[in-house]
Amino acid sequence: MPSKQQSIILGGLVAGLLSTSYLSFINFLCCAGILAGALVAVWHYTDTNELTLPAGQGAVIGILAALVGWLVSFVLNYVLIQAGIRADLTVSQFMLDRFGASMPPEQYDALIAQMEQEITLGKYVVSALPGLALSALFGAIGGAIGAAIFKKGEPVEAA
Amino acid sequence: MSRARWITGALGLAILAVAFAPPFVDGTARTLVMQAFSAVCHQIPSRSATIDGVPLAACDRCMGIYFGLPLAALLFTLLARVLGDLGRRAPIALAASVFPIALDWTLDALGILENTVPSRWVTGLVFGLVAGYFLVAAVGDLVRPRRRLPGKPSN
Repeated sequence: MPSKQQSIILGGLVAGLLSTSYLSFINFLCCAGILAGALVAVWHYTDTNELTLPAGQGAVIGILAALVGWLVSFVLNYVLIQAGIRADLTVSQFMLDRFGASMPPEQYDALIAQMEQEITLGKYVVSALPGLALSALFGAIGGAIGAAIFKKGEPVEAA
Repeated sequence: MSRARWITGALGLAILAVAFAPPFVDGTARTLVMQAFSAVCHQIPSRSATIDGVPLAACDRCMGIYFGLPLAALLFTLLARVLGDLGRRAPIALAASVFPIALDWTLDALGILENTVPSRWVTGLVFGLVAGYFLVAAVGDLVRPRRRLPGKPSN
C-alpha cells in the first residue's frame, strides 16, 4: 500500500494552520478545522493513489492528521506568544468585545484575569492537553467520513 | 437497526452525554470536560444552555451537531433516500450542509440578522444529520466482515 505520510502531513498542516491565531475561529464551527484537515488528508491519499479506502484506514489517517495538526498549532501558537503576539488571546478578546456587556460580572472578571495572566510553557501544555483527545476523536470521525465520500478506483483491503 | 447505526448512535450519545456532564459533576471532572471541549467550542455562556446556572460544555450549535449524529443513525433509511445515490457528489452534499451554519453565523456577525437559539440548533442539526449519515456509512464499512482476496494466504 502506498505511503500515507505525505497525505497525513498535508492534512495536519491544514488542521494546524486552521487552528492557529485568528484562523482558529473556524474550529468554533464544531472543530471544522480539524474535520477539514482529516478530510483533506483522506482526499489527498485517495486522489493521488486512485483508490478507495476502508473506513478504518480513513479514521487512522484522520487521527494522525489531527495529531499532527494539534502539534503544528501548538508550536505555531507558542512561537507567536513568545514573539509577543498573544494569538491565544484573540478568542478571549473577541468574546469580551462581542459578549462582554451581557456577561455576568464574575465571568467578565475571570476572563480579564485569564487574559492578564502570564503564560508559561507548562501552563500552556496543561491547558492544551485535554483538547488533544477530542481533536483525535473528531479527526477519526472526519477521516472515516472522508473514506465514505472520497471513493476512487479499487477498494484497498483492510489491514 | 444495523450494527453500524447502533455504533454511530452510541458514539453520538456518548459525545452528547459528556457535553451535558458539567452541571452534574464537580471539581476536576468539570474542569477537564470544559477544557477538552474548549478546543472545539467557544463555550460562551449566553450561547450555551445551562442547568442550575451551570453551562453545558458546548454551545447551542455544537449541541445541535452532536444531537444530529444519533438522530442520523435513527433516521438512516429516510436519509438514504435523499443522500444514498450521490456517488461522487457526496462531498458537495457535505459542504452544502455547512452552508446554513455559515449563513446564520455571517448574517449575525455582519449585524444583519441576529441568530437565535433555534436557528443555531437547527443549522447545527442539519450538518450533524448529513455528517452522521456518512458516518453510519463509514462505520458500516468498518464492521462489515471482509472477504479474503483470492490467493492471499491467511495469517
